[in-house]
Amino acid sequence: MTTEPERGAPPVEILLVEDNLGDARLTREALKEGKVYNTLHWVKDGVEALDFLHKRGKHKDAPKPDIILLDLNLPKKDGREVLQEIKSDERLKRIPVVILTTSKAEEDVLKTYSLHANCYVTKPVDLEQFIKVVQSIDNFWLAVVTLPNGK
Amino acid sequence: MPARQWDPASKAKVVLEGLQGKPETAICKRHRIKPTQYRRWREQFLANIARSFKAGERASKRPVSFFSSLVKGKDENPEALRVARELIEVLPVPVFFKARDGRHLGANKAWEAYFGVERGSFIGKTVQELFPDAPQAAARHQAVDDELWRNPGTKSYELKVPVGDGSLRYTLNYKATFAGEDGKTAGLIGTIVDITERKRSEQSRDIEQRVMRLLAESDALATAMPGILAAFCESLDLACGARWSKDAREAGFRCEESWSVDDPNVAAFLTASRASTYRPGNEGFIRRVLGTGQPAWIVDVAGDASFLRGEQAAKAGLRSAFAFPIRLGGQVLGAMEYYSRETRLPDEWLLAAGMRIGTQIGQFMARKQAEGELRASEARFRSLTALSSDWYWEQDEQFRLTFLSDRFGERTGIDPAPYMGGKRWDRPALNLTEADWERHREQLGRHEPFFDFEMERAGPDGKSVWLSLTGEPVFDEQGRFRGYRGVGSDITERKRAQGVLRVAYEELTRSNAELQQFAYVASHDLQEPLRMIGSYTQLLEKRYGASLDQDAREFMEFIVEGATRMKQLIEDLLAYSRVGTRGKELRAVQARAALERSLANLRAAIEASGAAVTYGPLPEVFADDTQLVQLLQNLIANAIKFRKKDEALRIQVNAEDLEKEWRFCVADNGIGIEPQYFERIFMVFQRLHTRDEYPGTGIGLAICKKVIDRHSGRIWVESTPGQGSKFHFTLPKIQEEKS
Repeated sequence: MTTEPERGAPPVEILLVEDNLGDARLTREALKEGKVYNTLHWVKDGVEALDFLHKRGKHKDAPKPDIILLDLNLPKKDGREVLQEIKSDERLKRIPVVILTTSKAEEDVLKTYSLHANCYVTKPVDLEQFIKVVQSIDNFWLAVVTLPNGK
Repeated sequence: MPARQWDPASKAKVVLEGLQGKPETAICKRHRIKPTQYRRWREQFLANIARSFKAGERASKRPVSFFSSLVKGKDENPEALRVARELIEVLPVPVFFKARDGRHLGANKAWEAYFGVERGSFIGKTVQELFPDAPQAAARHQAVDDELWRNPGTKSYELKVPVGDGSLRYTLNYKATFAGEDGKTAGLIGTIVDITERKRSEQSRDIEQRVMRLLAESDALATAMPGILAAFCESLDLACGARWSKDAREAGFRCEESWSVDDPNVAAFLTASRASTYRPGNEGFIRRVLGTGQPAWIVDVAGDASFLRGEQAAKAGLRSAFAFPIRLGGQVLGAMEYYSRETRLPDEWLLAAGMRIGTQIGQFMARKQAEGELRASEARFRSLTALSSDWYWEQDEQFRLTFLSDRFGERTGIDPAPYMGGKRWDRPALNLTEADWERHREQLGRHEPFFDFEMERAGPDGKSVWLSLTGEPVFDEQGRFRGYRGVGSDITERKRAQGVLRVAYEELTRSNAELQQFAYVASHDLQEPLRMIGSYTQLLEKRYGASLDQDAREFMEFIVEGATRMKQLIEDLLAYSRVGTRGKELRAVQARAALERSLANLRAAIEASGAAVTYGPLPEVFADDTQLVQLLQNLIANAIKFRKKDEALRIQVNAEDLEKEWRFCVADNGIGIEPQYFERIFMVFQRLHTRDEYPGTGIGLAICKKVIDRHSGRIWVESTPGQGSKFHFTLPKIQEEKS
């Protein structure tokens, strides 16, 4: 999915790893509401996420994402394992990963595994909050992509 | 060794040793002769002397004049007289002779020495005149003389007489008549052998034997004592005696038993003695004996200032007293005292015998005490076995069961007969494998004690019975292993209860774990539908709000608000359940650092409320640092939340040293809490205010309580509504290493 380019920058390539249809849709809506210029790639489990990242199977033409939004509770291979593989792969470990958690408690647990996610976002019940979060992702991405230009 | 041949001269020399005072036993030992032999020689010797007188008399045909010439030194038959006179003079044994009228004719030097009388003053005197102070002795002499006048010949008899130094001596008197020229009895010659030593040793033996017999026949000293006192008094012709006991605890002493001759005055003296109590510290007769452990003798009690009962004793006609201690080793247990009605000089022999008897009595007392202790110990053991639900068992050195108290059968319902004589492992125990038995056998083989050895035996009715045995090895006096002995108890009921408890515990652990898991999963999974409700309602409002009316928008607001609150409740519940499951190990934590972290977390709220937080010195405590931060943070956040609107908020954090633990206090000047809620505020989701007044789910203090529970501390509140609250909690101190 691609929205209209407004700022002369290429769209953010986002990989969303989320099994829940409602949450996936909500992310997409939040991006829309937040007016984030993006291309959202949605996979439903950890195995598919890694296929996407390694350009395997039906994802052999997949782009390298600029940012990964990773849910923790996934079928087949959960978010913790996916994160581990990303962070131990030289080609993938520089991709920013935002962990989407259901509760604060989950975040605390994850931190004890000393896996280095770039950011934790607790999925809010409040849509406005979620939009803000998504916008901050946009800002974050802009900062990243503008860096080479600022050199 | 061939028997020695004794010639008359050698025999005479041996006899003379005895007459010079050497003890009979020593003589017999030295010359290797029997006492009977010695005594026979002595009698022959003395009879020969008497005969020599008769021979001289016959030779002169004028016996009276022979003796008078012997005394006066007249020269009738010069050679015979000289021999006889010299012989008599040098004899170490007193010799005297008297005429038919009973008046003394003469005596030798030994007689003078023995009685302390110059012989010139005694010629012509009768025996009564010679012993004016001993009329009984004189009468006895007179009676023998009278008998001899009637039936001439020889007589020998024993008599106690006073001698020169005033002491009483036992004498063996030999008398032989001699005839005059007319053939009629003209007088008698007598010799005296001092047998005091022998008499005394006989008396001593007699008393000691009586004492020993009495002690052997008696169960208690009190029953033996009257006989012992009487034995002394009767043998030694004493008026009365008493035993004194020393009371170690009261540090005093008292008269226990007494014996006296049938005389009311003497009895009164003893009654007075027994009625008094005596304390140590003053001088006194018995006190001295008890204090020194040495015997004592008082010649005249009336004239002795150290004798405190002198007046009563004199009234009773008592004169001399002696006492000796009852001893056991170096310990003085009591004393025996005796009184005579006549004056007696100190008698070392008597006191030595007394010391021996005192030792006998002391040993008896010690033996009886030991027996008493043994009986008490046995009685305790009997009570123990009778009252205890345990049983007692014994095994021989082959580990065969030799004794089993009745309690075994009573308790377990198992017939003990098949077990008797068998080894423990001869019959199966359901809970023990062959390896277990082997370990037990090895332990027994090492002769080690064992504790709580548990066996599950087949009981009656097919039910099993659990037994627990504790045993110790038994060794005899030579240190040889003799088997085992010990106790056993029926622990079937305990085992059953333990089983029930274990099942219940496992069930509880499992259900707790399930509950934790459930709380986590439930709260986690509840979030998702909530998110759907909240977010999509908002999305709906955002996209289509314009086409909805005011009511619809309000309703949707309520939906979002409800979902948001529920999310918070779930988050709190999750946090609460995580206190128990996700806690870290307790370790040394600086409370000050924890407080500062919690203040940093609350910085925004503190600045917004303008709260002044102060704190005193805070100790190092034994805690989970994350939870300690949470605890302090919750308490301070509460203080901020429940502050007064019109007064500057002050929060003070302190810690106090209570020896075994630290007591912390977080005090504020907020709105306070009514006393009836002091307990309730620590329960989950208990709130005292509406959400409009003060937001929150009511989980904060419940988490505090759970944290403190996990730290084995206590948490409570003191508060006055309108003035402020003081939240106290305790934390354990760091266990200091003992170096």
